[in-house]
Amino acid sequence: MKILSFNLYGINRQTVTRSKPERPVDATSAHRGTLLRKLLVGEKIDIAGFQEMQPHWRNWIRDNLSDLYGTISAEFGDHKDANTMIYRKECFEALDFGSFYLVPGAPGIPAKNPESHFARVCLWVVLKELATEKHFLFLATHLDTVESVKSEQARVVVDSVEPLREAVKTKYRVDDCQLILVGDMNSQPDAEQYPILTERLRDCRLASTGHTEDGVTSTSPGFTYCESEADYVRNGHIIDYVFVTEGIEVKEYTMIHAATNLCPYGEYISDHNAVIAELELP
Amino acid sequence: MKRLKLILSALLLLTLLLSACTPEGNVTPETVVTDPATEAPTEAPVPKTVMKVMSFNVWGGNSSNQTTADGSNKRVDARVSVRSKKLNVMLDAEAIDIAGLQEVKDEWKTWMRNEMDERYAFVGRSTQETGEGGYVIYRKDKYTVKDSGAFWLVEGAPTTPQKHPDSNFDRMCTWVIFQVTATGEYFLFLDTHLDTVDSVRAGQATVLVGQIPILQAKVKESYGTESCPVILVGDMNSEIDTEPYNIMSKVLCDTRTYSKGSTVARDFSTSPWFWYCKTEADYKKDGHYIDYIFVSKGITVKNHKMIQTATNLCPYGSYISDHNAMISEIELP
Repeated sequence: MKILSFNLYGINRQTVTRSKPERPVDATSAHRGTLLRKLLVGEKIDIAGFQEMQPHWRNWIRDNLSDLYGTISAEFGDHKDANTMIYRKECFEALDFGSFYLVPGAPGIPAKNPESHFARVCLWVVLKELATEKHFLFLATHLDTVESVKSEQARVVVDSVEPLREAVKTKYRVDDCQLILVGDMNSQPDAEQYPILTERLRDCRLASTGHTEDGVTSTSPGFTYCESEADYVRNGHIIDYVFVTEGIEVKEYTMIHAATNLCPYGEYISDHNAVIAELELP
Repeated sequence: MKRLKLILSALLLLTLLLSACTPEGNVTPETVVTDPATEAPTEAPVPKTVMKVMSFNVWGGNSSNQTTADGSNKRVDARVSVRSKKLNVMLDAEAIDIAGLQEVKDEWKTWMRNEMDERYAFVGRSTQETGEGGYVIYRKDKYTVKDSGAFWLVEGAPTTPQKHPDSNFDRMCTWVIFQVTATGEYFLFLDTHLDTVDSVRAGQATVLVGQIPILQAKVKESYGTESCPVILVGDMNSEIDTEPYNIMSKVLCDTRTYSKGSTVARDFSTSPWFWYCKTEADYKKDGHYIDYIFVSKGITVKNHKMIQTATNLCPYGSYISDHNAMISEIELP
């Protein structure tokens, strides 16, 4: 299955590129959504976790993707922003879903560390792959930008992994429940949050047995005009991830340069690039 | 401390299990499936079948370093693995129902088998000599193939590979009898590719149009229908108003001229080779119009258009083929 993690940038208006302020970008969800659908179809995405899902984005997805994908969202506790996931209806069934907030104890009701910008949330969905009847968990989150709270938030997410897996095994009487976590972690591989996130999960970029991305190309370059691929931003600003539990095989890990004019599905789908992992459940 | 941790994780587990049973209001399920049947008015008249059909010569080549033909000397990664991904995107975005493809060689067949959008299925066959196929891809949730076959474009139209001595290749035509799943209507879809040798094309066109009433009769007899609408698509290697074109347009309607809505100007090239354009003003306009969609009388043509798939400006990714894609939206009688 192909998994996408994509921060879709919450704005819904005209803007400009970071590298060339004179270059206009139509950053409305109506325009960028059309390109997003091309990417989803072209890359044959099975499941995606999106961040910065403002209401206009959620409406667009509901109106324009429902023939292919089911959608589940979890709103922030204090903001209209949300984490949204979509899954290919033909291949998967969503058995259950819920959310918890990124403060210790992982409460199911809105809660916030006073220092965090927002009441950040993590969405979890129990999915069944229809062809194999295998159950697995899909989590999507977006950590805060405030340095002091990110480790605590990462800890809450990671500590929920095993209890969630156990809960699914008990509830559905299955022997195994692998887990996929996607999101914009606002944390680079050398940040203190990264070892926390990789305590129980593997970073697909490193676990890939096939093609993979280098460790320097930014996943979040901002809208960038490039003459050629040589202009991709390579400053190691890697903050968008797909993490998986031990049993999942990572066949490939790729990035679509959606934040550039060179994106094969049309210029500037977001200010982030789209990261894609091809996975196989055990 | 250990005990405290144990209690905490038990509490977390309990919270998650509880929230699993009763999702909070902050979680918005937007996938509630609505049954379209319950939304439709109970006694609505049966709407006419509208479908989007495409004719597309996908180019059988598989080169990773193809030169453009416009003198700019740009290079094109024209491997089928690269181009077919874009075709999937176009099929989805243009909501194509049925497409007749030409020059479907092995790499394209592999794509149809393994990587084509799952909503589509394919039917067709290849010629003996070139291995190029006339393959028809269609939305399997909307149409059912009742029967299909092929005939070769030589006099007598045999069903085994044959070649006119002057023709470059053993040209053929794939035919498919479709049934519309929703309405039960039948129609005939043909996909062909005439030769490049001038002297044989009129003969090939004559064979082609001669087979249509025979196939229509087969549909009427086999399925008890009163009529059988026909759609013929293909790369005819013949420009507008040439003899082969006139043979076909005498019995069928060219959707370009019969379109009630928008259409394509005849001075465009449908087959510009890989063509680099700075802007749309650079689209090739030399009248090399050779790819067509023909329909039988009674079919309404709502609109006809061309996607500049042979250029860098194609909205579904640059250079899907060396031909452009022709698309007609039609309504069955």
